[in-house]
Amino acid sequence: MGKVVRNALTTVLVGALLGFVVMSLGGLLIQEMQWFGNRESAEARRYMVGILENEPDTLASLTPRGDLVSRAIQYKMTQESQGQWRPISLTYLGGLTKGGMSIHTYAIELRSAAGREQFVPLALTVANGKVIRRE
Amino acid sequence: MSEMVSAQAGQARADEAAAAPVSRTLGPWVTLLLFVVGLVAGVAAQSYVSPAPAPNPYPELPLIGEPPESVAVVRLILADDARALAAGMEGELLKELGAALEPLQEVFDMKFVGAVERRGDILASYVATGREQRAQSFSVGVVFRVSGGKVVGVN
Repeated sequence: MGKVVRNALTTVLVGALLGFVVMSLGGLLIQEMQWFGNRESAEARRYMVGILENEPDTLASLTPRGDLVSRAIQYKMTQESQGQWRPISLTYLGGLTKGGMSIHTYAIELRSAAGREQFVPLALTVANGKVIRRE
Repeated sequence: MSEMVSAQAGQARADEAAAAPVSRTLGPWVTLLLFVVGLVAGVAAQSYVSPAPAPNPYPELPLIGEPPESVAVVRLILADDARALAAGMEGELLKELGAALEPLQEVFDMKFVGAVERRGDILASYVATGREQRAQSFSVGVVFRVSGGKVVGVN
């Protein structure tokens, strides 16, 4: 009986391992080969929403830990831009994954308190789950 | 009496023999079922570890095709044609292009990834791949702003 349970558990574990590895490697391969376009990363989306919603903690958690002054400047900028612009739309334009790095580009529509509208792009470079470049 | 005992012993042996394969092996269908259960669990675990992006809380603009104005600029960049680039772009725009391509020294490839249009203003996005100062391959996102039939900005 013990052997049967052991066999059953081994079979389930082998299946689980295979499913996990195939999904991980397959997903990366599909992104690298651009078979179905580039999948937007969850981190890039959270970062963009963090910018538009003025969430300094979200932005800090998604960027590599910088020095004290840089982090203070980031908080200051977020505080100062609070309520100045209201987001109208956020569109994912697309991106590219190469090696461990991925680039994601967005178009944002904003409206100021005075009614002025802006249509601006933003490109994010994501590596190891962190936004390492924003332009 | 001895015949009865012998028959009982024979029956017991037969029962044991019949029960043995069931108790020691799982059978092909059960094994396959367990393997599929494991596979599904593995796929679910992987999806949990790398989740899909959360839903976009804002409206999205529809994507459009690659505008010909940015195609022309990309062609000049890939041809490494500085003279034609200088003739076709304002000085300020060239500075913006230089900043957008930073830190690339040489561009091998520019892949169009998507574009959107809003009231005649088009944002066309590319990923430029090339060589940076330390001769290492690097990629950057470059977005051209097209308006009135020409490229008017680069980010």
